[in-house]
Amino acid sequence: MIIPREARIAFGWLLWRDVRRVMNSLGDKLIDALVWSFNNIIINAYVMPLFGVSQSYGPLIWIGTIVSMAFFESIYFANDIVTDIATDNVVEYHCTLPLPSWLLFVKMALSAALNSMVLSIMNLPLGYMLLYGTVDLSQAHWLAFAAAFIAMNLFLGFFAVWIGSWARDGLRFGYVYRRVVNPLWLFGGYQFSWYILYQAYPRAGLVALLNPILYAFEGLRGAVLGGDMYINSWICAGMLSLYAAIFAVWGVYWMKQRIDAV
Amino acid sequence: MAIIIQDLHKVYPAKPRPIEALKGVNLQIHRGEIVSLLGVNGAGKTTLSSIIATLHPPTAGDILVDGVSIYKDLLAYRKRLGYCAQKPNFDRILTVEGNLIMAGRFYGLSRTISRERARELMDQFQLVRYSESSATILSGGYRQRLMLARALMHKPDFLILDEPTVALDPHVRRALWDTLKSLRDGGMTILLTTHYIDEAEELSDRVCILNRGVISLIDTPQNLMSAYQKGRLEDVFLQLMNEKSEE
Repeated sequence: MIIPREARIAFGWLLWRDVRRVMNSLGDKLIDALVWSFNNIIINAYVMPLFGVSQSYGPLIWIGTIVSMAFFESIYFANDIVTDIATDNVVEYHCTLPLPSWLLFVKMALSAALNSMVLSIMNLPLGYMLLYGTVDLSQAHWLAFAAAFIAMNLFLGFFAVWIGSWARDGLRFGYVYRRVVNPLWLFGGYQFSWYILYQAYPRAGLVALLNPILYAFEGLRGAVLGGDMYINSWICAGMLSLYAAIFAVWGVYWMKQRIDAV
Repeated sequence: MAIIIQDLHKVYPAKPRPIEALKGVNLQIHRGEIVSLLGVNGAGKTTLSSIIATLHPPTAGDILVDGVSIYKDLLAYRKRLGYCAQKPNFDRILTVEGNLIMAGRFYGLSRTISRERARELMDQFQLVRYSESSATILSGGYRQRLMLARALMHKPDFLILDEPTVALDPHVRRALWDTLKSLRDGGMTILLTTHYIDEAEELSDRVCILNRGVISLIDTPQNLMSAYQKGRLEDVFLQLMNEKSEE
């Protein structure tokens, strides 16, 4: 498929506008990441072991904070999409620009991905510092981490567009959190690894394999913490890419329907 | 840029039954004229203008520009089109000048040309003193000016304005009318959706009255007033609406 030059130009400038937006909020994002990392890691790495939880729980949660923050940020982005449609409707202006509507929605997803990427990656060094020498990175595979991380954010970008394509107005967005985000996040393995779940409850483990967020948690943990406790990071990157493709087609199609775009 | 609208239909899915907003609209807009769309609420004005602006697809029918369907090369048509929505939808994170420059860049203008064009338009619309301010601080009238300036950044051949003077002060409305007349005199084709009949009478080369999704009348304001033996277009409109409600 050849994208005409005028569409590439409009697409590029729309994306650049969003990059600037992300860059303008870097300070805020750093504070968010710091608070998020601090809360999660201090409680899970230093308080929970006092209740008998394993010492390895801190590192598990550390990587979990990266995925969680990216996931929640993408949902905020979906909320922004919904709010814009209901209020300012800047998307209406973008729909008159010389680019096909599908490309506009792909741009939305890439902006969401970039946004969640910038915010969530900050948790990697912040968490590492908070864990203060208790993490063994000798088995870390950074290339696999990069692959899983990029695939995760791409998936989350298209997932945000998909949510934005059907969620009702921003004021009633809470039900998305309660009915969609919370189950996916908790059953995706924020607090456990898939093998532990599978060993204890094999059927639940098999059902959990349908959850795309599971591959984000497993893929990133496997790449950074290593060992055989997690699903292979490359398999996870592949599954996340597959889910990204599915939600790209689905989200773009539904968004086009929602906006009734040409 | 001559535009031919052929048998345009638009049906919105709704419960208990679909809403037929346009029921076969046929219209020709000639190069360098201002055509106003008039009608009561729900007549189909915004639906028609938004379809011509390519915001929404028609359910049936076609739009031809210079004899070719716009859907055959949508992007080329959009490059020649400027659209000013009823509700200001500028970019909140950019300044007034930033909004204009960005609009130029979207259409492939270079940085230098975008800057020059933005300054020219800010000057024309008295936005210079707000150039470095966030667009969010502008009052209603200035927001509308910014919207119009943004729509003109890439020097379109065809301008669609959806209720551009809603909530504007009378002197701002008058200034906007002068701007639209000068654009028309410069060869621009303009489609104007409005509730203000005095505005349509003052600005339009032709007036198109829509009623329940069909065109009831289309002619010059003078011809309509003569045909109905009325001194004001508003009286023509009122009589026509009365006749239609009795049918």
